[in-house]
Amino acid sequence: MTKNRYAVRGAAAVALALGLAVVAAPSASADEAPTPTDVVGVGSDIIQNTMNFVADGDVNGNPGYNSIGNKNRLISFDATADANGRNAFTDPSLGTSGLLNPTITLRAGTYPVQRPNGGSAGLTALVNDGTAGVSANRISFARSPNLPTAAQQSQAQANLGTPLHSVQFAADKQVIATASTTNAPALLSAQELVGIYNGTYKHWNELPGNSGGSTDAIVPLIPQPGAGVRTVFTNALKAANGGTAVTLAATVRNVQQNDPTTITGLPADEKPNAIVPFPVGRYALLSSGYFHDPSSPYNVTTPPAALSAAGLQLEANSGTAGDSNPVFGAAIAYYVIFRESDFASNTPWQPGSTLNWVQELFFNPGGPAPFLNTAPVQALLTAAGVTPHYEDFGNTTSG
Amino acid sequence: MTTTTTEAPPSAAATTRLRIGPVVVLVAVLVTSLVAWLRWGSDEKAPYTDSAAAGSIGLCNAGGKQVSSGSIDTAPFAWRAVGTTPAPAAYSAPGSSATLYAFQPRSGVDPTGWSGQLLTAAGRYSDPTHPMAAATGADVALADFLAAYPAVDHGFVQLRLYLTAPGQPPLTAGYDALDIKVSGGSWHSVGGATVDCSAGTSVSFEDEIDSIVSGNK
Repeated sequence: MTKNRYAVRGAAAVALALGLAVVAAPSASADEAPTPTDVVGVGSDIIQNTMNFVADGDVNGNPGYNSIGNKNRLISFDATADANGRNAFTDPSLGTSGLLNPTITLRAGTYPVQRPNGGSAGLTALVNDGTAGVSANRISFARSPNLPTAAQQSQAQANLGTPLHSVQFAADKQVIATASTTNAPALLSAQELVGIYNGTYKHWNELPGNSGGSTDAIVPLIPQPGAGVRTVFTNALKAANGGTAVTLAATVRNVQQNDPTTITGLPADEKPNAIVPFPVGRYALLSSGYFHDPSSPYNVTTPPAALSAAGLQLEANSGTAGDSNPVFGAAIAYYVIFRESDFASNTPWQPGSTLNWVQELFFNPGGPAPFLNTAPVQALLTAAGVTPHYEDFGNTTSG
Repeated sequence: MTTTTTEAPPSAAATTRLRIGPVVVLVAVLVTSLVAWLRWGSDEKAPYTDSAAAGSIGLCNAGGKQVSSGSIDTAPFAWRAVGTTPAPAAYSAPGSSATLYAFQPRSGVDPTGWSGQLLTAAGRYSDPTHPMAAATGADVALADFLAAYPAVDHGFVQLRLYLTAPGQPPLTAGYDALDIKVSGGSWHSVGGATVDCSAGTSVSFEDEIDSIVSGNK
């Protein structure tokens, strides 16, 4: 069986982000209508790129599952309608531009439905993929940085007729991002962030040990509702607040998760004062040059320029902040969450196989390693700037 | 008058030669066949044809010697897989790689419809005239593939070497292939060709990533 040879390498993550600039480059998924026997995933934005990697390989020729050419495919819908991970808006020529609710066609022959934007939205969609104990089976799995809650497990049992099963396959870390030129202290603790996000600290010079800092107003940003990484962040604030959930101040703005333009696109007077929780893995991908300038039309002769993480910087993930507490950093688990009944199924997935789709792809105790836990995939994950970490969580709940 | 011509009786030495000669020939044939069987498998043929299979694959062990048989439980299945067909120009650029796959032949099903799995990660080869995949100690044994995809067509498994290159799709329209037959806990190749296991190098993506991670520590 495959060994988890890349486990426990979190300390190298940031260095890796820079060192893998040439290697990391997953492909984006296409918006297509999967067949009834394809495996379909929805959910987390931050996990979408690594899952695209797993499904389709990368632009450097490293294969993913679909590279094999098997009849049934692994289809993982991105969280937003943009392969660069940005929000989509209505056409400005039609009037005032507004946030779009993009749609996807989960299966060929079905009508388009709202695209789940984020891990929590993906989990909710999975739980609602059935009624009265009968699954519709349009969604096979959800990508999420959080385990299902007890309420979601109960609802899954009621709607789908089965509990949900979770497997972690990688680990990432959420840190604070700022503009490259910023008024924020170099290190912010979770306790200081509690004060910023609940409105106690409104200006930089109000932070402990920072009386000489800028008098500018802090611009606290947070990933949009439905984003799993928002839950990761609010859970971290809750833990730092003695277990009491933090009520967000009115000054806290919802922004598209993991999108650097939420800071780099701000007006000049706000940019140096903005902070947002940001995953190290996504920063690594940005730094790799995988994303290209979306304002340039496709042209092989004059390809669009590669984007970078320029204008954005991450705070260090170790050290002591001005209040003498450790700098903020929250673990982000990369889970795939599926029906327990799919794991128990006796129906082989691929023609000629003995394995159902869960055994083939995600979880197969006592048998050959599932694709997600093979050495080639672990190398792909490492190249994407995250740490391979394979662990079964069964029907465990959180929150 | 009747004339009877009688040949002189052979000498003892000639008699010995006459008796040993066919035996020597027979032994030579047997030894040649045995060597051929051990090296390339028996003269049996796979019960299918694959029009996309352009050339063959030679498998190499950790010592850099070509092998034509082994245990299904040996991991990795092979340390190197060398194709006999030079890579096309688009797959000869720096960074081009080869990956070894196993496919499950099924009677009555076209080879394009067979199911398969990866046996290695992509291996960057140094010599496009000898594209090759490389395995690491973390790669799987043939038994892992067989547990998911049993060798249901007379015990045969088809190995394929798919080439890829930066910015290029996997080259699946034509590939080098090798038929192997599984019997109990062992496998042997059927057909095949001689390759030079040391004709260039190949570095597994797994090792490539390992070295980058180690370098960043």
